[in-house]
Amino acid sequence: MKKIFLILFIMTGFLPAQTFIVKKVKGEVKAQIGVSEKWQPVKKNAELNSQTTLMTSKNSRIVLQYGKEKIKIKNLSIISLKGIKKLTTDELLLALAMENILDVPNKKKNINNSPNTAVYGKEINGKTKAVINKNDFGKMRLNGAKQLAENGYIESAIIEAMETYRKYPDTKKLSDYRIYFANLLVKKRLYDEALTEYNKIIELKLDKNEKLQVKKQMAFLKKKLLR
Amino acid sequence: MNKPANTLLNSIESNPSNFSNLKDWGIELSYGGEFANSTTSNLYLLSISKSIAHSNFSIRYTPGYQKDFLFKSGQSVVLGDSSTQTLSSKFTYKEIFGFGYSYRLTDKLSFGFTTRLFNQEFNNEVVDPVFSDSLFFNLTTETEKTNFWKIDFGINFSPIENVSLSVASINLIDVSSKTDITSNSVYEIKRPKGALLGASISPIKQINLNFLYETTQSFMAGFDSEFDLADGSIGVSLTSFHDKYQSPYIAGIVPAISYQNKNFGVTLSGVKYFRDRNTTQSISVFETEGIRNILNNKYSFDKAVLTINFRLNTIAQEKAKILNVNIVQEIFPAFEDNYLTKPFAVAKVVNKTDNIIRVKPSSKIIGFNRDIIYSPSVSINAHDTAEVHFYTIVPDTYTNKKSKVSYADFYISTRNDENDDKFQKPILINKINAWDGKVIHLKEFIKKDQNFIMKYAKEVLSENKSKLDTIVYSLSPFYKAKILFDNLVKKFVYVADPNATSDFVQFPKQTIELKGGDCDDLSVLYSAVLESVGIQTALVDYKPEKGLGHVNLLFNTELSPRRAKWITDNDSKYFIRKNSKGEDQVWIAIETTSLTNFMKAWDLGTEKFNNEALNKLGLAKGRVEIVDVQ
Repeated sequence: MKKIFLILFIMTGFLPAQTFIVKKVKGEVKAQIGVSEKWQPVKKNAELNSQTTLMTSKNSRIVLQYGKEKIKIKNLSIISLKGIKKLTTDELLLALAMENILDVPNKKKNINNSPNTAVYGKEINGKTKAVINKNDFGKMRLNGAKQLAENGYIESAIIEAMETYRKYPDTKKLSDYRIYFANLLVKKRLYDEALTEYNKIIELKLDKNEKLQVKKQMAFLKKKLLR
Repeated sequence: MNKPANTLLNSIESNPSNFSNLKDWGIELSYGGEFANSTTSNLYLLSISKSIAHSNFSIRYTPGYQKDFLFKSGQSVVLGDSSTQTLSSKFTYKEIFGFGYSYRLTDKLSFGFTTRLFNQEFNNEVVDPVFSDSLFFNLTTETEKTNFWKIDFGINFSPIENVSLSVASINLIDVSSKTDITSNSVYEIKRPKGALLGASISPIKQINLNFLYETTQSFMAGFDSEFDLADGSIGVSLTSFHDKYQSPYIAGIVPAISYQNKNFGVTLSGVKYFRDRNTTQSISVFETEGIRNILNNKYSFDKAVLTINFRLNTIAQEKAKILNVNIVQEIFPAFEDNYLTKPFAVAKVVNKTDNIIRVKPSSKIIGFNRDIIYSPSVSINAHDTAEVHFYTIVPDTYTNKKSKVSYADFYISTRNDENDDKFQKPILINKINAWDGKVIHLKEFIKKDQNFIMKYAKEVLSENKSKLDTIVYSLSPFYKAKILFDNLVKKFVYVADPNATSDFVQFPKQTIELKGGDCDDLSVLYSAVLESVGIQTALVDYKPEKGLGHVNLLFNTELSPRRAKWITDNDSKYFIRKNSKGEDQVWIAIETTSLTNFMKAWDLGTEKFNNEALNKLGLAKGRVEIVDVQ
């Protein structure tokens, strides 16, 4: 009977909602739930849902229990718990394709969106009320993506990294992170996508070691793709 | 092909069904003569034909269709000067007048009839005794005359392009009039009833084989051929015929040569008999055998006939024909621009000519279009079929609040002055607020009432000028959107669409006036308001697996990703879209049915968009679609 129930569960997709239980907290760990603007402290044994985003500070870390799995999140990371899910390679490819789908269609004709002639307000030199330096925020997002990969969620890690590049464009210059996630693409045998990424990376300021590594990978990918 | 067998004979003798390919007017004149002992020539025939729609009428006058016979009775009269005069009889047979009518049921089938008026005159010289003081004999001529009408019916059928068949009656109806014949009835034209069967086959292009069989055991067999020459054609034909009452078995041949072009034709034809003609015959034999045909009988001589015909075509030739029209879109009056770029109907049109033609399509939807609407011309190769698209224009003044079925007239023309063909098809014209459920077409509703909405938006922003003045310029699209949304929702209530088919969408002005609407109406209104102040928007189409879908809105804050933090500390509440210049810009989702406030609508919009479009890969899988308004 149990077997039947299990099969039914799988077939009908009635999986229980993802719940994460906080097993260990060290240092300051904050959570942002859903569309909330607030970051609130995370305490041991708290139950978190997949709409939660966690942020670890300089000397903090957190361990989550997710079913039978233990997820370790290191310091200086921001991680969306929705990313902790197994994706297929096809789903990864679809997610990567969405980047282009989201873009505004490139119409040749002049887009009639000229701004209103009435001018309100004035430029204030980009001063904001940001709680954290935006570059660090982006870098912490990439750290979070790395944690996903280290916990075995490579597909989600790649998606998170790509989204971070778009939302935090300064992170595109972080060559070490770019190389790390490009290597994940290679690991998933997405050679085309990986080569596109390396072609962008080679344009960045790279140190000697990185340049060598990128060129080696590019040669390998070209060879693979030529087959 | 589609012409009767042996057309070069060109007479209703072999065409009792009055078959005709004439387009309009035709005039024919034949002049000829017989090669008897002394050659005589005269006007044979004058005919006029006219086609009107599917009908053809012909009328002809035949002064040359005449045959005279002179008989010596054997009796002689000694005149007073001792000379003798032999008494004679003269029989004259004439066909005077003919009339024909035919009707073309289809391109393959036609039927018709012909009627002809004949006259027979018998003059016999007789000697009448005159009794007075002495006995005189007076030489006089007794004349007996009779007229009769012959009416015959026929059918022509062309089952395939290169075969034509015909069947017709012979002497079916025979009506005599003005009959004063007593003693000469035995000399009348013999008129046995029968049938005429014809076939014409074109085994190879330019050659027709013709065969005609009369049940009275006569037949004709021959061929005709046509070759192009300059702007006309040369035709030759040769027909042999067998007549039960003539010998040898093949009694003679009918050769003909003709030149025809679009407007006129000249035909020289003749009859050559293979045996010397009977120039004398005893009256007793004549009494038994008689004649059955005025033109062709055992006493006929070789003939030559020159025929000239003119075709006066006042009706332009139909170069193109509409085979069918498919209505590919019902008319939704709100979708103005849609019918300028996408056809509402597609016709299959065939080029009936040997040349490439340019077809100009036009249409008029009755009760909708005020004028005929012209669509782009299409070139069609010779004898090819092409799809012709019909576009239309929605009149500015169309405000019908009820759907109705009307008719669309479709025209195609290869000239400026006249249409080659016309086709009519019913079409549904929906009410002014009708929507086909396709989110892309909501854009058409957004474009309406621009002046009203622009005025409304500017008034709202002017009221909030002081607030906007304190805001960073880069943030102005975001705050304008917020102020405009909050102003709208102050007065509004969300109304679920009572129509399960979601086939009704309010125009922006209507939603403001009605102070409410469903997700379609509110998204249309908010988009129209934002677009009117230059804020770029997009509709999000959440396609349902079952039942009703949902629509909400995205708008472009025009902030760069680096400045997204100016509006939120939660980076899941926005997403990045590259614009047409390749610049990344921050867009946010708004749930327009959330009539609480902007921030709440943003939160709800984000949750819906992130969940359906991004996390569930709805955008990539096609379950969610972004429809940019501009």
